[in-house]
Amino acid sequence: MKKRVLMFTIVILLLVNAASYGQCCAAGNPITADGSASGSGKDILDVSALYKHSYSDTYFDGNERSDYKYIDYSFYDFSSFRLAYGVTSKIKLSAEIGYFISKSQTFNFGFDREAKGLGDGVLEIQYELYTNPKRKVDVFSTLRVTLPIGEFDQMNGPVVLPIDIQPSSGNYKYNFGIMLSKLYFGEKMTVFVDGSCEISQRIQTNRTNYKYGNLYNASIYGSYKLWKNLIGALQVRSQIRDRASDKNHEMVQSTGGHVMFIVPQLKCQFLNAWNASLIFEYPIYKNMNGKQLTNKYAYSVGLSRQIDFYKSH
Amino acid sequence: MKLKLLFIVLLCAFVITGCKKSENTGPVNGTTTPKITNLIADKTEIKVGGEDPCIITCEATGGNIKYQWEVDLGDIFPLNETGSQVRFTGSECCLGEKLIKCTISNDKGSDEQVIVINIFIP
Repeated sequence: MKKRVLMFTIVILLLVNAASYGQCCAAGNPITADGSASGSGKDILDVSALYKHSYSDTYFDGNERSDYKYIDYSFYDFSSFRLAYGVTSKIKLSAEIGYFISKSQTFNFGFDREAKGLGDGVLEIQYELYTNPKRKVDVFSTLRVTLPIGEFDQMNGPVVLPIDIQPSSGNYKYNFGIMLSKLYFGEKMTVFVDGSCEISQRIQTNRTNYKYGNLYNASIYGSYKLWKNLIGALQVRSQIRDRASDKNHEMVQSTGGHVMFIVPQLKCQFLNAWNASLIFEYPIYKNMNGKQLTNKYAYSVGLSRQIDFYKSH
Repeated sequence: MKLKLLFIVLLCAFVITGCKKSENTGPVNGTTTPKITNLIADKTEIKVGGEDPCIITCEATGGNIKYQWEVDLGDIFPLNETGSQVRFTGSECCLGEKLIKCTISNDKGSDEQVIVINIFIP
């Protein structure tokens, strides 16, 4: 079984590291998943809220830092609210809504601009494909649909803001994922291996005809019970985005690339059903197509509460 | 006779005032249908990056005009209060011909024009 888990991990990492391309900025909700998954406990409602701050100020050309200057720095403050419910012991449904408190770009030639407002809605179904309680192994599949319900026509005075700073994606996105989990050391340690692919639909409005490149994610996540209610986790995430295509369906240069993140996390359980989390994302490897502004760091703070309707009956 | 004379005077006065050209035939609120008379750029080719911008100016008639600028890829910033003049640049992701659309509007209608700016790597 250990060999199978190892093979599965290697295959996912190889798949997402295949020749592919990435892209600089993207409209819509950022990634909010922490790389883990809870069991799809029947009748359990999980209510969670998250705040995320991301900051970018470094240009990369290929895998090297560039002294190119255009956008001096860029940041966003994002919040989301999520409901997840175990419909059966195998199926969990969730809905998320995002809101950008601020999404800002400051240029090195003395101008800046900002957007804010409702981001995307996200619907997800998670299905438990396989479970082996004896070996403490579970395999989940996920299907996630991003709904462009938010703001996509924000203005900076008389100027319509470009799509990469608009709060909403402006199109539907479809994400397919598979995740394997295994418990070790009497459930003190959990390992998740996750692979997913996000396909963006072409944005076709009166003023925009653009398609974001597909996004491929792979991650390995390990968590360990440090103390009574305190869990430490570490995720390594590989994220690749294809080049975008413009109105003539031609590849847009200087979009897309490969970034690997290291994501340390702390999780704390309190008052039985409450959970708090602190997540820090730091890119450890970047290989961009052309010159692109890249992320420097991001952190998020989350709070969640589980309500077990089965127990309360 | 006096009555006839009075009637003729009143009739003449009525005809004269009736024939007087109205002074109120101009545009309501001082506006007319908006029209772009000129959409001009100080250059039509710019180097990639922020140091070689082009300045685009929209000249229009119609009064009380609101300006709206848009481009699919590239960065536009307003340069004056009314929004009739903007600055355009593009980073590495925006190379090639860019169509910048200016739409003007007021309570009488709207008009739009497009100008093409080429962003190149020197």
